[in-house]
Amino acid sequence: MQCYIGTETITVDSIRPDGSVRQTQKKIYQWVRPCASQLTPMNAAFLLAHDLLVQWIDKYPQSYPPTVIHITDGAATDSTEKQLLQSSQKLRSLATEDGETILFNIHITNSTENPIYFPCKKEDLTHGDQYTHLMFDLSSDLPPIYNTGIAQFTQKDIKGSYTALVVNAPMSQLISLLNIGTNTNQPDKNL
Amino acid sequence: MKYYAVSIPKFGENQSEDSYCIHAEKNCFVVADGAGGVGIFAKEWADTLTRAISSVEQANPEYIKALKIKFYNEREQFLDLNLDYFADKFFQEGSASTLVLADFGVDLWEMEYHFYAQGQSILSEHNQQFLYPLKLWAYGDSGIFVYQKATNNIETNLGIQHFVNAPYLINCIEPELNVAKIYTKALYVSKGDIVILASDAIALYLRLIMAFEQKDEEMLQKIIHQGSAFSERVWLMKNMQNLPTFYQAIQSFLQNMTSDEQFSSYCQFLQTQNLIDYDDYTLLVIII
Repeated sequence: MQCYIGTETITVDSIRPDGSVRQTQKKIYQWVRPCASQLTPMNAAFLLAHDLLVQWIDKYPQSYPPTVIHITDGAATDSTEKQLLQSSQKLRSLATEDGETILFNIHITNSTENPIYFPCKKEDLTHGDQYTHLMFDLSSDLPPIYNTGIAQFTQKDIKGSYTALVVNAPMSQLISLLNIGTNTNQPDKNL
Repeated sequence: MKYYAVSIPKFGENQSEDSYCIHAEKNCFVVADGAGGVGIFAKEWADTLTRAISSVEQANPEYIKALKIKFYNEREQFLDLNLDYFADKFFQEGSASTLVLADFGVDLWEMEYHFYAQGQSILSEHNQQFLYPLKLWAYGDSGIFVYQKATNNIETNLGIQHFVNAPYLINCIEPELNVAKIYTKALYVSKGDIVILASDAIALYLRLIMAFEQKDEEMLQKIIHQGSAFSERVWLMKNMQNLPTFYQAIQSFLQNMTSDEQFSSYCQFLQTQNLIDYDDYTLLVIII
């Protein structure tokens, strides 16, 4: 059964150990057609993610815990703030033997101010919009193992924990952010 | 010199991604831990490293780079003919492994004879025994330990960074090693000393035992404050009534190295106690 909606062939560069560049033609599958329209059923999305992860964790209980990456304008249309807090808490409490699920919120606003990366407390939310504080409350506290990578990225070292939230990060930075704590071959160079 | 080696896969799996090789003719012992989480062909790359590198002199960045290029080219040819989903994973992520070596370099008996013949024996200050030169080399979080019986001293490549950071890996698509992260050591050992090489699960367990034995509170506190699974393990070990000494821990492993099944059973016991991670287990013990 064909589940995808189309394919596309792209060229991917990779480096050989002798330094030369290899170009590979790669067929990629398109599973959804992205579009921006209609409402923001955030609560339903949290509940759907919850149900999917319950099954996944049941199957892989010893795995590294799931990371849920939620990209949003923050303006939920299907619930109150209280309901969102409850749903996000329910999602974040799902755990493997290695720890709880991390809910990483990437909040997009109309603000033209500089991005905010991994705030530690609400006072760090110096700009954003009316939903930014809610996004902070919905986000996970990141485990200490992320601290070194974040401190290197933000050039800011803290005592305590970072929150899994970024506000208005440009696309190029988002890729770097998602690598923090997940790239197994780029350890901390300070130690 | 006697040596014992065993390597078993994760419980419930058929193949380990660890590799070891005893280059008996050169008295060189090698362990590599292929990283299953990076790219593909981890086992093959670990096997390549352990078989091709039979001395500390060979474990140099140029020789390893040549091995990388050969390994990569062979896989590239294969994947070009058998292109599938995994090919891209190889070209983007490569194959990665740790590597540790204990290199005695020469035949010990021959050397002893040579010293007698030449009248240039190297004798230990402690017990007037022969001292045999040993070179260590390591990259990543597989461990080497040298237990010197006369002094109860333990030499190792593992430090706090191996509990905090992702390990450095020899990756076949990365042209250069980070030479600053290569551990090397030259020392002498004498009869009765024990040299241990192990992949990370056992190595990090032994390193914690060592930290407790040496009352290395600074290291233990750093691990506790990290808030990781290792932190819980340190707490657990702190509260254990009969935490073994390093020597006792080695003896326990040795007693259970009589067969793969026995070793597996012992590792499973340690794992259910949360003293070692769920992983492939490789242990090589050399008794001088």
